[in-house]
Amino acid sequence: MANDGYLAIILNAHLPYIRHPELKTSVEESWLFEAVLDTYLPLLNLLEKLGKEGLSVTITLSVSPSLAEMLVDPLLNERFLIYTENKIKLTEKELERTKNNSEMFKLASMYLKETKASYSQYKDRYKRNILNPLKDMQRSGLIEIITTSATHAFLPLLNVVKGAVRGQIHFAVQSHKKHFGVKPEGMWLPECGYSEGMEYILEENGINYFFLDSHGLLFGDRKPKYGVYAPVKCRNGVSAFGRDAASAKAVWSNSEGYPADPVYRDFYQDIGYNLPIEYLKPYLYVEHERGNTGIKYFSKHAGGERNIYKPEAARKKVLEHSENFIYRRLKQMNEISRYMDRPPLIVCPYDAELFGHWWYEGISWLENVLRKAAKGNGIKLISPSEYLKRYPENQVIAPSFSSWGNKGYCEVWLEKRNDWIYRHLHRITERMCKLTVRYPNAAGVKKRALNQAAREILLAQSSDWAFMMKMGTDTAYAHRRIKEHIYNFNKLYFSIIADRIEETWLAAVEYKNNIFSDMDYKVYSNSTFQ
Amino acid sequence: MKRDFLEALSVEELCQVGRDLGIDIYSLIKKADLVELIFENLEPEEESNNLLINGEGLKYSPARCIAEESLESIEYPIPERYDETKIMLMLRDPDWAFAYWDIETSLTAGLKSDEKFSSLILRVYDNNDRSFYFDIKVQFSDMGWYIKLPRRNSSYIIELGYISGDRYTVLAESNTIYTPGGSLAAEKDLKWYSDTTERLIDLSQTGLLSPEKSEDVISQRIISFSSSSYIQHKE
Repeated sequence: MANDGYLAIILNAHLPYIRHPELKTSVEESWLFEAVLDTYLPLLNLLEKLGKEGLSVTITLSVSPSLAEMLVDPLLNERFLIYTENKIKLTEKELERTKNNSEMFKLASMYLKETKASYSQYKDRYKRNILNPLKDMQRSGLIEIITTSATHAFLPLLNVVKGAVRGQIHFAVQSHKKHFGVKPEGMWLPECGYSEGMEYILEENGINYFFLDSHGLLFGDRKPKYGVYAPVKCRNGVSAFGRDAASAKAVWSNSEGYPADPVYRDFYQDIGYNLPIEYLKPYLYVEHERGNTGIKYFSKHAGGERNIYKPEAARKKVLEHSENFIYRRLKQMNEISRYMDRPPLIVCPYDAELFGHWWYEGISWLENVLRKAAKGNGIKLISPSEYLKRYPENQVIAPSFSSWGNKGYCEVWLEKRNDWIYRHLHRITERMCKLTVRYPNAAGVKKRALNQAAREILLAQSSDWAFMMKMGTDTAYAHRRIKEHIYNFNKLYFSIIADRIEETWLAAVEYKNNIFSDMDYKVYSNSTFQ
Repeated sequence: MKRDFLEALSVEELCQVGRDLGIDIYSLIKKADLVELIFENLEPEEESNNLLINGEGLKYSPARCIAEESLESIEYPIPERYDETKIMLMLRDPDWAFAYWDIETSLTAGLKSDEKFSSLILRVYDNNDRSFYFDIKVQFSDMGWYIKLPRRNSSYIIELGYISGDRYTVLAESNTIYTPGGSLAAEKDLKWYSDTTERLIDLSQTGLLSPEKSEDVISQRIISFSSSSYIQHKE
């Protein structure tokens, strides 16, 4: 056997659509900017570097349509530069403030260097478009880009209304083609949320594979011959890959995961929260609003003490942790191989923003893992598509309803703090389908209104709002957003029927909620609404 | 066609359309009259829509609209519930479902004035065996309910109904949901099953974080970078 096994690393990059042209700046937009600066740019840098070195590296990257739309939005591109310029100025000021503390000064200098490099990478090298280098990397086989539902809607809870899942999948694939020039082979179901029958909508949209949490595959209608170490096929031929629990835990677990190590940088100790507001004021992205600056001087608390962050020590630890990860996968593969007649496949999906943003050292960890795997000491990195080419014959199983959320099903997105939203989400989708049947060939303003109504539906369906309500973070914003989209939809619905569309208002809403510029509302007509 | 469409709308929806058309709607109007009134007030040819507003709209650039309307200050009132009689059922996990419902205002008023009325009922049916069901009494003010389902690997449907005297009347029936087994299937796949399958399944479950035994908690989508939690904390 050429390999002990295959390793498929899947990164899901997603942020909700948080573009606010009506405001000068917004806290929510800075979520995007932090992710670009801390995760996406360093990740691209890493992949480019590995590609240039000619290493045999493949990872799968899911770019959510809402994120892709924001990444090429001129307004947000411009604002990202302003945000980063502010950060550079603040870091320069930090050099002055920390000049008598050599350790902090060194850190500030490191941040300044990093931020300036990222700024130039974004502005000069990528000309503000970070989807272009991704396309190049896909062409060279370094990454396989897949998609997720249009606005990262959690699909099992929408699957009770016809048209809802279809709309999310259709617009995802359409947006993916627009941004990446080819159709996506795979789909990251948001939060691994699967419910019966979704594979048919995936098939309709040309999707060949998707992912399940371990129990979604293990608890299917038949015992899977290879456990989660090989994909299965749904009855319609769409393949499903199961997540490996052991490697998930190694990274994700709050207590045992690598990122919990006290040597690593503490995400929460940020000067944006720790220094006087007067000092920060000129550099804050949102006036008078404290926020993450990314300038952090401390490592995680160890025994209640705050220790200055030591990049050298962290670098050693990262090396140790990446070696441990590879060692444990190899050990796992050796054990599994004894029972298999083909090399095992270990599927490791992670949220992309974990790396670099929350876990500062995560990108270096990933780099070491990829380098070690690329050396071919028993592990071969593979994309799901490539695996399916090599092993097209797989067991047919009907997967089980499941997600990777707490307790494995829908409890995160359906509980007392967020259950009220579904009455509206379902109702507006039904109304959209009715409108589409009623106005199959609208033109002019009515067409624009119908298209905008479809955008408002997709934006309302984003699972992020339910998640924020559940977590109690940014709850007011989540409430406001979901109400805004339901309100806009209903207003459009009645004005379309009454044929009294206020065009000035419509233009304003189109300008504000401008996601999916090539929207075609007729997609909802395929869905009967009984 | 257009009239059919209007007839399919709820009274609440028709009233809203009527108001948008500037029709003065008196409260006791019958649905048929309302449809008629709206039908008469609609433009005859829809594709010529918004001629008046159309021309006017061109004067505005989006940016101007924004400046003039200041969208940030708008509040977004949404209805608490809808004026339709309807019940929906959603599966939360293999053992629990969530149902929400609406009842038309006129119907509620009728029930409240019915002297023999005793209670609103959710009747939960095991769909494989309709003789098996149980009832949950609910109030007019209730809008949703979490329901413990007795059996896995089954399918359920709920009726929203009421009891008046000793008679049960159905108001609405929900969609059907299917509860999964939530455990390994008993069925072996003869084509694929081998003596190593059990071992591989055991290995696959090593360190299984979910479902149900996920104390240490796995990944969740991050949202707020500014607030406290990236990885979901213990419940």
